[in-house]
Amino acid sequence: METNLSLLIGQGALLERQAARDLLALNDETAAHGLRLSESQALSLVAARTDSLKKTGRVEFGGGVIERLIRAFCDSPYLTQENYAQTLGELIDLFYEFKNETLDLLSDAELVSFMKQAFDGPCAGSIDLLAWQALPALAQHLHEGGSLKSFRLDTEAWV
Amino acid sequence: MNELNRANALHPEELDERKYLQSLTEQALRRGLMTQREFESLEEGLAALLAAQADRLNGGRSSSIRVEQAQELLSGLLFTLSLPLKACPTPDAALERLRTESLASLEAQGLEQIRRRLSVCRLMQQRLLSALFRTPNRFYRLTIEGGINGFFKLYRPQFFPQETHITADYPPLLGRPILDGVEFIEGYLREIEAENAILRRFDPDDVHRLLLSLSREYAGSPINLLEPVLLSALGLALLEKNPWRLNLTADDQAHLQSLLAPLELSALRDQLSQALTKLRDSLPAHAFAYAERCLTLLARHVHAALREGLTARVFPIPSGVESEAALLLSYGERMPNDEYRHLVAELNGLTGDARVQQTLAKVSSLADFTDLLADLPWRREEIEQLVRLLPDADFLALMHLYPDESLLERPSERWLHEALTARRDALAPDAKRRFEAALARIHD
Repeated sequence: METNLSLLIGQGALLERQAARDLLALNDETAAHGLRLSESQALSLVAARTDSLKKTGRVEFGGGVIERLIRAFCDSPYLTQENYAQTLGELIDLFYEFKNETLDLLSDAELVSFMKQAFDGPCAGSIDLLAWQALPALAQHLHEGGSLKSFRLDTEAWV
Repeated sequence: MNELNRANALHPEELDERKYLQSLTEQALRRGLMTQREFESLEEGLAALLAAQADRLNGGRSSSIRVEQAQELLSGLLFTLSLPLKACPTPDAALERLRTESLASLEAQGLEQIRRRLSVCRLMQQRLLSALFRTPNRFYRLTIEGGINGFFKLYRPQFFPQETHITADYPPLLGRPILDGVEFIEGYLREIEAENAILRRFDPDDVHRLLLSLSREYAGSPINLLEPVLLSALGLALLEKNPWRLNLTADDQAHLQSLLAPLELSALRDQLSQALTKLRDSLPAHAFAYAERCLTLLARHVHAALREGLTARVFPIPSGVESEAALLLSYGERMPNDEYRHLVAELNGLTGDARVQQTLAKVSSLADFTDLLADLPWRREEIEQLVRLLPDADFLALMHLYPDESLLERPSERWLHEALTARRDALAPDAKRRFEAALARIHD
């Protein structure tokens, strides 16, 4: 028996379609904010998650991160129907990258909550500021022994 | 395949003790004793167990973990699952169990086995330490006490039962077991128990003189103590002399050379075996059995040495140096494991002066200090500051524990040695003389 992780936690086509269906089910909630995913967008997001996991050297059991991001960000004033799918894709990438960069010290909920706060707050809807300022500043703060609680989410605390 | 062929169709010698489940299923698939569907079902079960483990590890806080960590968790699961299967009388019985029992049930039994074996290991260690052969060789006690305690401290059987953590510096005569986790520690302790029982039959001063004749620095080297002692005893037994005083003479050496050098390896082994039977009544059964297992290796060493005319290497004449009055070095009492883990986590979050001060404040035993040196990442300047602030007694003790840089692998240990040497070199001449004299008199 080759103990190959990728065989054990395969992301087969069947699983990806099921995951996409789960995302589409959230349209009922997000519609209230004028946001909906199409089937192809949902499938792309699931594929993006798989790629992101591979890129960041992580494996996922069960799922739920994309759903968590959707639920957290759907009421953001900076999300529109035009940028919804693309922004979600970028947020997925950032999420896994910074799970690594923050040394898994933050729970999924804490990281998503921070990303939302920063995105809607000092980053003013800019994924670039989130990716290159807010999240790296948080990671450095944690590396230096700080905690999420003690991190100041304002631009003065950024690198 | 008929029933007769099917029974005992798996070959035990083709199974890997360290990857039992993997090698069992590989062989079963190869021999047509497991179907692809059964194998896939096994993989699905493993995936479910792995997901549950990951969830337990991060307390449900994260739906993803790093691939390396997942791989380690998987290795841990395979280790745990392998234990109840290895306990089956035959590999075929193990395979049948794998087919009929749920993986969750096998996992639970494996964990229970690990816990029981850990308890046994702790008892074995305590028993050993209560009757440890007295020797100035620092690796002997350091490994059995410090090293094994380090294992107990760091071992996480729930998630990573396959990890051993320690290097077990003291080398048994038969070599360190090629096993993992608690299996390694159990096998290692059994070997040391047997060696210790044999060594205790001899006077420590006789052993000290014998080993000094092989190397003046043996006390600071990770060498096996048993081999020269056992060979000396066997040599004396072959010459019909008292084997328990380890007092071979030059004539005895010459006699053994002429007796054994002409022999082929198997005949030489027979001679050593006959000599060993003369020791049988004076050794506990498990120690005698261990010595028997060592005979082939001992015979090889003797055979090779005699061919090169190096009789003294295998049948040494003891040194005439009497042991001097010694200072006894205590390793100190370790703090409880939970407290230690808490301290490690605390110190991990500190750097520089804060870390040094907290270490000096919280650590009171050498054992804990040496563990922290291994378990935490240190900066050179932190080590240097620690050494500068150490009380004199601790400075002396550490200088004894770290006398020789060539044996040190970790950067933190090398920095420690350098800092200790620098502090010693900075002493005034009289103080330095007194320091060196005290250092020479230390016994563990």
